[in-house]
Amino acid sequence: MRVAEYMRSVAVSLPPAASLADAGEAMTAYGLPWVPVVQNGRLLGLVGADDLAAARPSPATTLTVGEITYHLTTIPVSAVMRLDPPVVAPDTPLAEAAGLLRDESVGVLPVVEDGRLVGLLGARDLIALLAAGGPQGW
Amino acid sequence: MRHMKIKIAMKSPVPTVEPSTEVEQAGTLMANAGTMGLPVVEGRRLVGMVHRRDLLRVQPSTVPALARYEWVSAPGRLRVADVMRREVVTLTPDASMQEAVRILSGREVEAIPVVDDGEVVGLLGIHELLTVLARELERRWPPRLGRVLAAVGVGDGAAPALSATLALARRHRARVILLHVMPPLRRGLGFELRQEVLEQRRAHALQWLAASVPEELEATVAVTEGDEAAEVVAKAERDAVDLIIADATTARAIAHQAPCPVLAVPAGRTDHAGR
Repeated sequence: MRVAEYMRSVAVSLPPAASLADAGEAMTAYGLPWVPVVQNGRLLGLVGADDLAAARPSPATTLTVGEITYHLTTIPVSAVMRLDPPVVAPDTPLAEAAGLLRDESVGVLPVVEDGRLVGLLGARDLIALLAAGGPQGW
Repeated sequence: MRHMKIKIAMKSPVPTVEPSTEVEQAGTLMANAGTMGLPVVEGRRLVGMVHRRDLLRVQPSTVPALARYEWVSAPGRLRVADVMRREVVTLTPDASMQEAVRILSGREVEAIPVVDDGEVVGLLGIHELLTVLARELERRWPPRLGRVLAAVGVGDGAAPALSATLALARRHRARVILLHVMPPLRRGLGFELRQEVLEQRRAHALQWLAASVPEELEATVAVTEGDEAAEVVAKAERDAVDLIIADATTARAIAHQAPCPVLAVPAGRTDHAGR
């Protein structure tokens, strides 16, 4: 029961200069609540749907919808991403990863091997194990 | 596990807020409780849920370039009633884990209030499910064994310790080291004859051990001669193994010198570790 068996491949990642609008589009397009921020194959950070929600102005803003949309294309994800998020290795035991996801309150753990991002382990992917009756042997 | 009831996992007791609670205070309460949402009650009756995401929506932007366009005190004037969701999915304490997972797997609901007899008795979020999962995984797959050393005989004598080792190694994806220690030959044989017999036995043992390891396991085999306990301990130290597996007699002999835990397999038990 290692991370490698349950991680998903990196479907999409963004460079640090990508905008918040890019991040929002990537999340929508891939149906994921987070996107890893990567430079030269190395993980820099993680930006989640919650980070985007927190970055959006409240209704008390004086900006118009158009202005907000414009601003979101000018702000880089590096401004809101979680820097140096907790990571796991492909051979990290699943129990340890589950504990880390809980303690760090992150929705996903990047899986890193030899400094490179090789996969992602989402909290929702993991809890699905609880419903499925788990892997053989449960 | 899927038949487990959520009452063993839910966070209970759980703080609640009222519709008139200020949004800012709800945020603080939520952060302190470490939950993704809080039940909103009137008296004891559940009237809604406020999720962390609902609070983010009305809080000023975290980006200074955007935050400077906002009225600073705005969230302070907002009440929970302004942001809460009135249509709420609830579960009873006896609901199944499967049901909870189904709800929380969607993106909409971050925390489910658990209601019994019209009263909020707990809260269940991904956090709580991960706690159960970590515990169950830990229980079924105890902390990892990277390398296990099995001290085994050759032929029939190998059976109990060998099968226990293979079963454990499969479970843990551990690397297996099979060690067979040949008992010293009786003195009195001539040196050359002695060497020849030893070589024959060694070759036979190596071949036998290599053939006993299923292909899917990563394994190395070794044959030495001498005092079994001393040889096993030395090998365990050299290869930095996590566990030694041996029949009960050998296990007893090495227990005090071993650099790691020792699993003693009783003779005649061949189905030891599979469960």
